[in-house]
Amino acid sequence: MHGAAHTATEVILGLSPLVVALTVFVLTYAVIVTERINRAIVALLGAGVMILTGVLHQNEAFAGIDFNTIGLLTGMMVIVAITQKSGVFQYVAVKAAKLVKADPWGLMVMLALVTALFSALLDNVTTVLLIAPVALLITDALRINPYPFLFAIIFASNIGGTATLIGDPPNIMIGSAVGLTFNQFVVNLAPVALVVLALTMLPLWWFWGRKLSADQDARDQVMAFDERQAITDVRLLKQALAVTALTITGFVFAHSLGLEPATVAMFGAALLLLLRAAGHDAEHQSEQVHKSFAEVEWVTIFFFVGLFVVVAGVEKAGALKIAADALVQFTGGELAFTAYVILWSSAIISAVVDNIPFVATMIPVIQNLGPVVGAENLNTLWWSLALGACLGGNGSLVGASANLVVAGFAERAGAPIRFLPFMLAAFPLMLAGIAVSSLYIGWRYL
Amino acid sequence: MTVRVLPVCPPTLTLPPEATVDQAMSLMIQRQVNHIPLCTADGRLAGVISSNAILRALLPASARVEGGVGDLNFVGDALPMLLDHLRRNAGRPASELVDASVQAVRQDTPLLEAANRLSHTSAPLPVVDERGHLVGMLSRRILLTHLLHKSQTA
Repeated sequence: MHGAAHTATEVILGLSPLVVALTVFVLTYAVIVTERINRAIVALLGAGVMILTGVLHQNEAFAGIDFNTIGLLTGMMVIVAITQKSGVFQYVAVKAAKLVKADPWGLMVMLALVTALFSALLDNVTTVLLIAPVALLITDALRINPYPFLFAIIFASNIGGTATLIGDPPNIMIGSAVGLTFNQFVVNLAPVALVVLALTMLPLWWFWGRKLSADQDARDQVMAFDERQAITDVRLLKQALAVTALTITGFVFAHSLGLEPATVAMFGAALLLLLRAAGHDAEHQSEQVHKSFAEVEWVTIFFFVGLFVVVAGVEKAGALKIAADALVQFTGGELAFTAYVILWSSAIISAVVDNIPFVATMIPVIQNLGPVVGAENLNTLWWSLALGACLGGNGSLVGASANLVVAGFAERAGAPIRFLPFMLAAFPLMLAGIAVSSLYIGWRYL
Repeated sequence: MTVRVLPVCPPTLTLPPEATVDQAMSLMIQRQVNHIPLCTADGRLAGVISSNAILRALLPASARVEGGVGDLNFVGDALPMLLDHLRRNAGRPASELVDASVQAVRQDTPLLEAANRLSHTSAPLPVVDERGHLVGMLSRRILLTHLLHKSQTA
């Protein structure tokens, strides 16, 4: 039906492909920013227009979709959807609260640590979706204001997500596009993420932590929580923990085995689905598999698909080469200056807009810089992009989906987080994290 | 045939919307009912407060809302928390705990739709006239009694 060799650009009405591609790109991003239409619809429409106007051939559009990112995200979402039903997240959160004898400041530190750890190994949205309700329950029992705790959870989720390849979508995209491994992410980003988390807790202690106190009877009530009761299904718990451990081990060795992370995640998901299905009849199996798949965030997945095609369109039209040249002009192609510009601008942009489309666009731009800064130095720029885009998400309530999830839950529970007061505290705190990252980049790579 | 033909239970037990949750609870216990319609001074219906709505308000917010903690077994009885929530809710106006699942039906609502609405809630439904004034309460038993009578005389 289609000619595979058809690559010559024949854009409608004889218009310049660059103009058409840029128009589609700018319109797509502008409508995404307004949030008037669901972002997956906008991205898919933009992708369709890129093909219909002739900027991209359908085959090129397919080639532009990074199925490694799609597969990794989908696989992890299936694993998490099944694992969360075991109650393990409530167990860990309650256990952590009791370890510090339900002391409010200790609780804040523990919730931040637990959130950061889970966010590093799973996706941030799921983590906060499960931790925030327990945090609210515990602060309710302690009769203290939940706001500082929700604030700490938001920060910890974005900082924890920075630490690993699978922690945050920007890292998944960068790792997949550039071929950076799970271990490289851990070695290069986890140390600085830990430092940023520790330093973030200092102002939280000064603002809130040192003033928080709970009555002894309220603390006794929390100490009477029985975390073992939170485990609803022991068999499921064992299966889920075994598969999660196996999957993460798979990520560690994926590179030496010549495997992509998507293969590991999808295999893990299939294995867990098999364990759940074993011994049940066909009807029950299909119902269970259907339920697990239904919990995948398809809006995010299709958003990625559409964006990849839109970005492939502007890339083919040469717009991203021009952007890269402009960046080189601005920085003079000097490695250190380029790294800092990428770090700080990604942070500020990611604080106010979705970091996924931003990173999708920046990846080809930075790939174009190889000849200028030297291919061996490109990794410095990737770490700068990852740190900026992930940590920048803390700058405002709309900076990351996890922030919006916490805010949405808090609103429903009658403890709303307001946009401006949050930003007034969060934006400077985020910038402090970026300053620490600058020192780290300078010390380690420049 | 509409709700108008049914012998609804006349509104003998109502509270003004500004009555406190405490008063509503006492009245429910005393009169052994689970639902009290709230009526303004001119007889207009301002919603129904239910024992269910009060009970929900006593739960921790994290269990009450969508996406919250589904299973509270691990919390234990948490009696101090329940009593604390009870104290905090006692002084609130009853109108703040209107049960959103109890929606009024109008006198000109067809019987089929009334049956449909009743089947979706365990509460009796308030019946209002075209000006929004409370006419009475419609229970499932009243509707079933009417239908049974119809089938026997038909």
